[in-house]
Amino acid sequence: MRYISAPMTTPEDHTAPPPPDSDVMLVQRTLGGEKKAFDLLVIRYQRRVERLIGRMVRDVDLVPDIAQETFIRAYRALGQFRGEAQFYTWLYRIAVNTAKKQLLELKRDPLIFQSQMRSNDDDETSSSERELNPGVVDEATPEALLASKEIAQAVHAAMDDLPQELRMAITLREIEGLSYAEIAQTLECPIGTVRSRIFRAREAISNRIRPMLDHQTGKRW
Amino acid sequence: MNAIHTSRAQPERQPESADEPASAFEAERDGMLLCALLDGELSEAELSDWFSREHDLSDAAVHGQTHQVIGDVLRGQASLAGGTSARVFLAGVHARLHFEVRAEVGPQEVILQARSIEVLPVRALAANDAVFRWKLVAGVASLAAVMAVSWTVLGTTPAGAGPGASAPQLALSPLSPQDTTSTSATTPFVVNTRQGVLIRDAELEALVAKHRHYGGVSALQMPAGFLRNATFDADVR
Repeated sequence: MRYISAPMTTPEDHTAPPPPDSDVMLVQRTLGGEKKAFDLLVIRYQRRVERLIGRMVRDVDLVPDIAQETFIRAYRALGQFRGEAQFYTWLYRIAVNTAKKQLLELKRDPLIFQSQMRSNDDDETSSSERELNPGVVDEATPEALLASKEIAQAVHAAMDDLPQELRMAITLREIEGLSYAEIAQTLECPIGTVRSRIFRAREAISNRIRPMLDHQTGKRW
Repeated sequence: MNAIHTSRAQPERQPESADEPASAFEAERDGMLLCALLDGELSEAELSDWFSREHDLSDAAVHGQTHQVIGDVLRGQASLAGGTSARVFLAGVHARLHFEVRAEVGPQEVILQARSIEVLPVRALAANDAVFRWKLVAGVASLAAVMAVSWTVLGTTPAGAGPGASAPQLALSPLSPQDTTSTSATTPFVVNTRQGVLIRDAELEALVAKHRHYGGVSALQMPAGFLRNATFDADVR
């Protein structure tokens, strides 16, 4: 059984912006000197920022550095965030500008650029093939693809084993992108129950895939 | 009409018995709050509650990333591969933030630190120190070589006859009587040999006549080309 057959929204659209006050609260706490609040923002948006940068620079080795630079710049400019836009929209602009700046610096530095070109030429994909298929991203190594496939299979298997109420809750949250309040309304239960069900569902699936992710420690997954 | 349940303070699960460790229940509660926090579904009061307790954020990062991976898989996102370990990423951000904070130390703190710490005048080892030493040695050796060559050249030059100044002086100076004698002794004269008419030097002619047994034979047992015209030729004379 697969749960991606008929999503109501596209994957990118799904990550429905959380209530703005949530991020604003974390920003305010960070400005108040609570570093853990900024850590939570990093944890929350790391994957999205890395995915965004990965689509721009294509060089997987650069992605973590640019993503970290993005968060450092965001930290420096956090006082300028007034909460008029969503935090991710603001962070998105910083990430795009940081990636653009990094690309410009790479072109200005021919030594780095050539070394990267050489390292890219080492693989089996010829440069002409890369020119014909500019959308091809070199990061998808066979090993990474296999790991992704195994993780996906484990997640779907764990979903199949979940009790009905947990499966419903996490499906409405992750696939349909509903808020906790909307899920509570749909399932006719308190929000606390929704929160508990979603957490338990995630933990049950996490227990199945965590060994795979631990196995990938130090690697990119 | 369906009733809308919006109460947040009603978690479904409570401690089932007194045997269940309270710490396990607390851990689950913290995890649930973190899960809701990363979903942006936590109230301010709950957020304050969460911050009031100690948390290992590297564990929180791992949990959060695992939950995000699950969401990505369920949404069928192709870019499942390509993320950095959350623990490593967060540690990297921490390290850079720590550096930023140290760089932002105020001037008063710098003055206080300067007063309290005695700085020893030790020059840090530069990356090119080894190269610099070699260059220094090479420079000294070059200078010594130039001085040796100069000394040799100046030592072989006749005293008082500096290069450039002696030649014109000799040309302008009047000839001495000895010089005149030597000039007459070395007056060239014409010699008719088998090889034709040659212009000979008188002194050379006398020398070759004295050592005629060497004439025309080189150390290599063959006539030396450059001495061919100096061979003594008495018969014809």
